[in-house]
Amino acid sequence: MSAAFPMTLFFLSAWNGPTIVLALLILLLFAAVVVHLVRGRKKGGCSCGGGCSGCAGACHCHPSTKTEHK
Amino acid sequence: MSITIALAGNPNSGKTTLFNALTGSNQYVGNWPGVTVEKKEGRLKGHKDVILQDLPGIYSLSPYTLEEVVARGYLVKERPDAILNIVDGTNIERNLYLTTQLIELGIPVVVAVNMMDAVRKNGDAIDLVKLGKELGCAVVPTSALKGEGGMEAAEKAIELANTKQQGEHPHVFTGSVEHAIAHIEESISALVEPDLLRWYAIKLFERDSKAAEELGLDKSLMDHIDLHIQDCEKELDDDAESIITNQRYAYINKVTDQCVKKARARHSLSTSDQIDRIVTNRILALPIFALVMFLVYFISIGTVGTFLTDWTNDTLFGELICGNLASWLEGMEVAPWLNGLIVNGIVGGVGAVIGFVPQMLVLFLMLSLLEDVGYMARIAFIMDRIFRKFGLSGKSFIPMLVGSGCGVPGVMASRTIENDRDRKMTIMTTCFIPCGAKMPIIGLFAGALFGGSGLVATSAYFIGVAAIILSGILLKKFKAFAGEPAPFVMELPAYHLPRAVNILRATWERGWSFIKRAGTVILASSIILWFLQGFGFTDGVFGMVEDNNTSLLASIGQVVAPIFAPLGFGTWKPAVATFTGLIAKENVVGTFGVLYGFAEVSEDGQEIWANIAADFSRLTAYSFMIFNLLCAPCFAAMGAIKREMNNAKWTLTAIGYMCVFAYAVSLIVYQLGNLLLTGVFGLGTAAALILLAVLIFLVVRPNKYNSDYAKDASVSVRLNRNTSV
Repeated sequence: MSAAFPMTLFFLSAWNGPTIVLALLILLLFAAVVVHLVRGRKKGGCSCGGGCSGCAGACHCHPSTKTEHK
Repeated sequence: MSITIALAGNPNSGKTTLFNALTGSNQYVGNWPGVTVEKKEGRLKGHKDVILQDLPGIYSLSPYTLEEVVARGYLVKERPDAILNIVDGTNIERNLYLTTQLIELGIPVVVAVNMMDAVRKNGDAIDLVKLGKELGCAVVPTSALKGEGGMEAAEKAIELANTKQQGEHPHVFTGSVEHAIAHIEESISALVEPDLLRWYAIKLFERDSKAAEELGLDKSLMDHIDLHIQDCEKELDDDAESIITNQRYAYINKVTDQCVKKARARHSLSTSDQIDRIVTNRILALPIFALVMFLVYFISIGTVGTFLTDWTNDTLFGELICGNLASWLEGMEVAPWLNGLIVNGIVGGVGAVIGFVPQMLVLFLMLSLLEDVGYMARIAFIMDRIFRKFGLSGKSFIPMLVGSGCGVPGVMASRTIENDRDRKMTIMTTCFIPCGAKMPIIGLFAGALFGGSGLVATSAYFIGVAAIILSGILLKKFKAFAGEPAPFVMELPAYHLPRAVNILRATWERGWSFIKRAGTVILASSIILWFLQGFGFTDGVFGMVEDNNTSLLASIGQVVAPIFAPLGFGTWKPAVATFTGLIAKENVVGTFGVLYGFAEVSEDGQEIWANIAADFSRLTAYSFMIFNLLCAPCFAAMGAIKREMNNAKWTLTAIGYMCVFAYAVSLIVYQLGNLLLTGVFGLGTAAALILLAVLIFLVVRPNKYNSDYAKDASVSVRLNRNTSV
C-alpha cells in the first residue's frame, strides 16, 4: 500500500482507463447487491440470504394460504 | 371449473413425496414430524384444472395439535372435492385410524396404500379389493418413492370428485354408540349440512369442544345431547372419547385381520426396531449421539474438510487468484487504492469465507446423510428423555435440529410447539446451536490455534446443547416459563439406506445458499469494511492510511472494544468482527480476512492463520468463539425471532438474554482459564467467580412453580413401526 496522502490527491491520482472501468464495475456490483438485498427483504423472501427450496423452514416462509388458528 | 383434491395422511406416509411427483414442485421432505405445518398446493401435472392441497401430516382429526387444527379446518370448512388419503402400507393399522375419520366427512375418499414396494419386500400381502369393500371406498396401490400408482390414484380421485360419488359408510361402531349418534344427528339436523351430519354427530359424542363451538349450540341442546352420551358411557363403562377410539381400533383390527397378511409375527422386531434397541437405549443413546456428532465434525472440520479448505485457501486463493490478480492489476496500472480494494478488500473478505465452503459442504453432506437415514428423528427422542428432567420436551429440540443448518428456519419451526411458554423458551434458545454460518468461525480458530482439531467443533456443538439445557433449567424456574412440559409423541420412521439424490440435493442447496450469501452480504460488507479500515485521520488530515490501527474502523472499534476486555479480546479488530457478525455470522471470518490480510498470503508467505494467532491466544480464541456462538444471532434470525414472538418486549428479552448469557459464559471461561494458566487473581477473576456462583444458584435452586418433572418422563412415548397410537 502506498504512503498516506490527502483525500484530494487520492481522487486525482492514477485515474486511468482501467481504474475508471474497474471502479465503475465495483460500484455497479455494490449497488446491484444492495438493491438485490433490499428487494429481497421487501418481497418477504427468506432473509437469511439463501435459497428456499432446500430449506427446512420453506413451509414457514411460504404458506400457500392463510389460515386462522384458534 | 377447477377441482381440489386434498392429500391427507399420517406423518412420514409419503404425502409430500407423492405431492412432489404429482405436481412437480420441489417441496422439502424430512424424516421427522413438524416439518410441514402449513398447507401447500400445486397443480396436477397434465390437469390444469386440478389443484392438489398437501395437508400437514396428522394422526387423527382431533383438535389437539396445530397440524390437526389446520388439516381439520381445511377439510371441514373449505370442503375439497375429494380426499386422497395416503396410507403407509407397512404400518396400516395406525394409518387407518385417520381413514375412518376422513370417510365420515362426507367427501369422496380414495385410499392410496403407499410404500407397496416395502410391503412386498417385507413379504406382506394386502388384499386391496377386500380392503376397499370393507372401508366402502376406492383403494389404490402406490409407491411414491418408485413413482408407481400416484397418477392412477389422483385420476381416481378426479373421477370421484366429478361424479361426487361416495361409498357406503362402513359400520365402525357398535349398536349403542350408533344409537347415540343417531339421536345426536336428529338433534342437530337443522344446523348442519347433510354431508357433515355424521361427522359432527360423532365429534359431539366425543365432547369435542371445537365442534360444539363451531355449531354454536345452546346450553339446553348441549345438555340434551349429553344425556344420550352419558347413557352410552354408563352402558359401556368408559368415557365417550375412549369408546370411540377403542371401537375404531377394534374395527380396524377386524379389517386388517381379513385383508392384511404379515410375513412377520405381529410383535416381532423389525430391523429398524433392532437398531433402535441400541441407538435409543437408555444408557448407550447419549454416548452414541456424542460419538456420531464428534465424527461429523471431525470429518467435516478436522480432516477431509481441513484438507479441502487448505487447498482452497493456499492454492486456489493464495497462489492462483490473489497472486495472479495482484500482478494483473499492477500490469494494467490500476490505481493502488483500487488494487487494494479488489485484492485485500473484496478477495480478502469474500475469499476468507469462500475458503470454508469445502468444510461447509462436507458438514452439510454429513448432516443430510444423518437426516436421510432417519437418525435425526432419533436424536429428538433421545434428547426428550434428558430435556424432560429439566421441564422441557423433546419437541423443543426439533427446532434446534433444524437450526443446525440455519437459525432462521430453526426459530420458525418453534411454531409446532403448542405450549406458548415452551415455545418462547425454545425461540430464545434455538440459536445456541451452531448454525452453518458459525462454522467458519470455528473452522478459522480450529485451524489457526488448535491445529485443525475436530474436537474444537465438537465442543462448540455440545456447548450449544449445554447452553440450551442450562437455559431451560434456569428459565423454567421463572414464573413466565414455569409449567409442565408437553407430552411428546413421536413416530420414528424406519431406517433406510441413504438416497444419493436426496443427500446431494440437500447438500448442494445449503452450500449454494452459503455461497450466495458470500457473494452478496459478505461482498458488500467487505467493500465497506475495506474503506473504513483503509482510511483515517493522519496528523489531522483525512486520507488513506498504511496502518489500519489508525483507521476510521479502528477508532470506532476502540470505543466498543473495552466491553470485551474482560472476555480476553478487548482490542478493536475482534470487537469490530463481533459486530459485523450481526449482519451474517460468517462475516466475522470475512472481517478477519480484510483486517488480517487474507490476500497477503502470496506476498510475504505469511498465512492469515499466523496473523490471527499473533493476536489471539488459545484461551482468548476459545472465549471469542464461545461469545460469537452464543450471543445474539444475525439480523435475519433476529427478524425471525421478532416475527415469532410478535411482541417487542419478548423480542428484546430473547436477544438480551442471549447476549447476557454469552457474555457471562465467555467471561467465566476466560477469567477462570486465565487463573488456571497464569495463577493471577484479579478483578475479572472475582467477577467470574461471582457470576459462576449466580449461575449455579439459578440452576440448582428449587422450582417453586412445578412438581418433579421426572414423574412425567413416562409421558414421552416412542412409537415403533408396529405400535398404535
